[in-house]
Amino acid sequence: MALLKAHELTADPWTVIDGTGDPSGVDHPLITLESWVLHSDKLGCVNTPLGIFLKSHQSPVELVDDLDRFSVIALDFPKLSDGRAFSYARLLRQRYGFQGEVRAVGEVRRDQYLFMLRCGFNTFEVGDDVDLAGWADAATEVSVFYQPGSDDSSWAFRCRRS
Amino acid sequence: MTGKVATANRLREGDIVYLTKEGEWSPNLQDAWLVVGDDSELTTSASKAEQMRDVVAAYLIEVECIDDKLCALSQRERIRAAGPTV
Amino acid sequence: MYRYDEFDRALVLERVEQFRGQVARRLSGELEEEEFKALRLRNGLYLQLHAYMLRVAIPYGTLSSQQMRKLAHIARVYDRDYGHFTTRQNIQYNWPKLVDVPDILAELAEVEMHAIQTSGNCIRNVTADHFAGVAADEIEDPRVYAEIVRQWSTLHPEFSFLPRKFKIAVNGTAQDRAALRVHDIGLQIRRNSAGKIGFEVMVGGGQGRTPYIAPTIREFLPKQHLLSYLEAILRVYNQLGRRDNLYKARIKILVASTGVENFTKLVEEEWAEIKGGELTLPEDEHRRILDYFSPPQYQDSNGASKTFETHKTWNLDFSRWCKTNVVSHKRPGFSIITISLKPIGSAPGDASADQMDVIAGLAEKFSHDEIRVTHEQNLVLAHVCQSDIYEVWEALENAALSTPNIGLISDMITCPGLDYCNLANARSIPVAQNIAKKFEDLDRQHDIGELKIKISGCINACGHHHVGHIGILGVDKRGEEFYQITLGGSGAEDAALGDIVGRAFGYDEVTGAIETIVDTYVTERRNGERFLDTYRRVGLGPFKEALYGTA
Repeated sequence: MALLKAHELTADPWTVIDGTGDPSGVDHPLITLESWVLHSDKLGCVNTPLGIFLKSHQSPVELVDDLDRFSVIALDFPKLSDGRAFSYARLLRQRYGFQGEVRAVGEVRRDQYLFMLRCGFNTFEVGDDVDLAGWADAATEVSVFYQPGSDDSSWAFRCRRS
Repeated sequence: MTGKVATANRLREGDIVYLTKEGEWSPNLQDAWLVVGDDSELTTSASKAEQMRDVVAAYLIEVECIDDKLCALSQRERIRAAGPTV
Repeated sequence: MYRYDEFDRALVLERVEQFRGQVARRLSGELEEEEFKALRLRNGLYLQLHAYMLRVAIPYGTLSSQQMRKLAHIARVYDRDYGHFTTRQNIQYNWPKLVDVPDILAELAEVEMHAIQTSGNCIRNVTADHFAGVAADEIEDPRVYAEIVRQWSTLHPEFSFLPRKFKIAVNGTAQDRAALRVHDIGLQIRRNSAGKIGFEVMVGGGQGRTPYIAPTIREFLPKQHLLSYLEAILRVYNQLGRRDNLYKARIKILVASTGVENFTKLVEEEWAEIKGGELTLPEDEHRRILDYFSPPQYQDSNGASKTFETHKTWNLDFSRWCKTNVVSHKRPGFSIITISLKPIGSAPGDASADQMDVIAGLAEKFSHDEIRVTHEQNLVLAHVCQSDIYEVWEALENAALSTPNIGLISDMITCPGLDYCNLANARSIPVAQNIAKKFEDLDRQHDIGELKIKISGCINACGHHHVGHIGILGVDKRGEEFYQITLGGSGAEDAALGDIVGRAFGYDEVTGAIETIVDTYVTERRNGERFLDTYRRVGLGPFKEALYGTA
């Protein structure tokens, strides 16, 4: 897998720790919610940034009090049709003011890229054979928005009034 | 005698087609390659044509052969072969 | 009617090119069918029983003559000379080629039309009362809000991959012509005691396998909060709606399983967080859209009503047509004409390219350049001066468009059924045709009075059978077409789901069964009751007995 940020490939310093495996000693561990619940005391004093991976039925609302502990929140798209993480990303950005990285993982497709950007995702786990030019196009192929998003793009109500 | 034939739609146009013995796709059910018994070869040919993007949504249907004429068994496939009844 | 500004125009053109790119990627093999399917569907393109099918959006069912002519042109050039008007006030073409669709969309964009979100698990075309703006008791024109919702819901980044499709309808009069209670969200415009405009919000209605009448979750939502409240409902649904079972994914199931009270609480809590924020409708934007729907400049025609009455006296056909197809307009001297797309023996909702052109011409000349599509699959000329009605009728008569049957037994809602649809289990169109032929005699239809038959070819209920006064549902029983009959449904302000009358009837029996039901009603009715009222008074009993005997 490769990681996309601002339409470019970027290095991924994070190591995914599946299940409830012990993340201690791992640099930049990306842990599961189950692991956080189990190891949160121990993880409280580790000397590395933490990332967390949420499955599509795990709302970030469950983490509200701990959000500042995480540098990355990875939200899963287990299948193309599961769009829950679009709402999660917007809540993280707009309601909870999460400033860190919101990463899209799973079925992350070019034709959803613009929606994801607008909901506040800023990194994207993509296939190694990613067509970078195609993804860059996907981010700009629609330039008019009829609703506010969680990015800084302006929307029609506002454009019309200015 | 009953057997199976492969059907699909042409990807670019959407027209209904049936797989012939020569590996072509014909709009006419009567041209279809009727397979009685083991239909694995039919399945393979149909899915290959899907991969080649000649056709889309390929599947097998049951047909009956009466007096050398092929007739689909289900009402749905009879309508598909003959066009809307209205 | 609404006209695009630079933003609307740019968006639709960009969407056309985006779709052109997606088709090219499919043809080059870059996109597999599974992924392409999700993309083509959200642009209205299906692969149906015989061919591709393209559903074009007609927002809240309002069209200009120029747009109608474009629809006719598309039918001629890219399809088989006809189109099918649907219960979501859209139009469907049954035979387009995939490779032509980007060009069709580009042609539609020329007249400010598109196929965006006419299918897929997203917010669909918003529907509204087809008499919007011309009904006497209307509080406000619902299309103003339907247009606001259309824009907000178009390519919404958060709500484009919902658990399931999502349908919103808006109505502005006491009479509900938009079937609000069988929508995911129904918005009834209300004026509160302080004279302010707002909405009664109904959520979780729907048909399909598990029909529900939508409960009201808010009695009055001030209009400026419309979008934030919708966003709150959709956000709750997007997170909590079921995604494990296609048949339990609609919001109606979430509302029913959470309980109306709890569901309302979730929505209100979410709304409290976003209320008064960016989505609050600015007065100037509301005004901008409202202006597009301001009433046309009606030219008074002296003695119009007198000419109209004279024509009715000496032409019986005209007078009969007026009785069913012409209703009063809020402006004296004007009328609303409904053009029936249900001639006896035809496919309900179909119109030929030539007929579309005739209607476009009539709208241009006699009805302020505007045509409406009804959810009952007919067309409306909403602003006809009474002195012109006779001339309009003559032109309709020449185009086989003057069937005088609106609201009568032969004015049926019918889904495409097994003749066209990939999901259907049984045919619907020929069932409608057989029933229409059986009751062809107009005197008999008038004697029966208002009776809404609605026919679906499968449990998905696109033909609204659950809310038919008489509902007919096609099922497949070991390869044979059977039809289950329900009685007593209504999609109007007295919304109700029909009751199953008993065992299903075969294809050849169903017309006879309908006749038995109608005859039973005629025997049972008192003082000119409608079928629905008789049914509500006497219940299933007499109908069951007539159909199946007492055993």
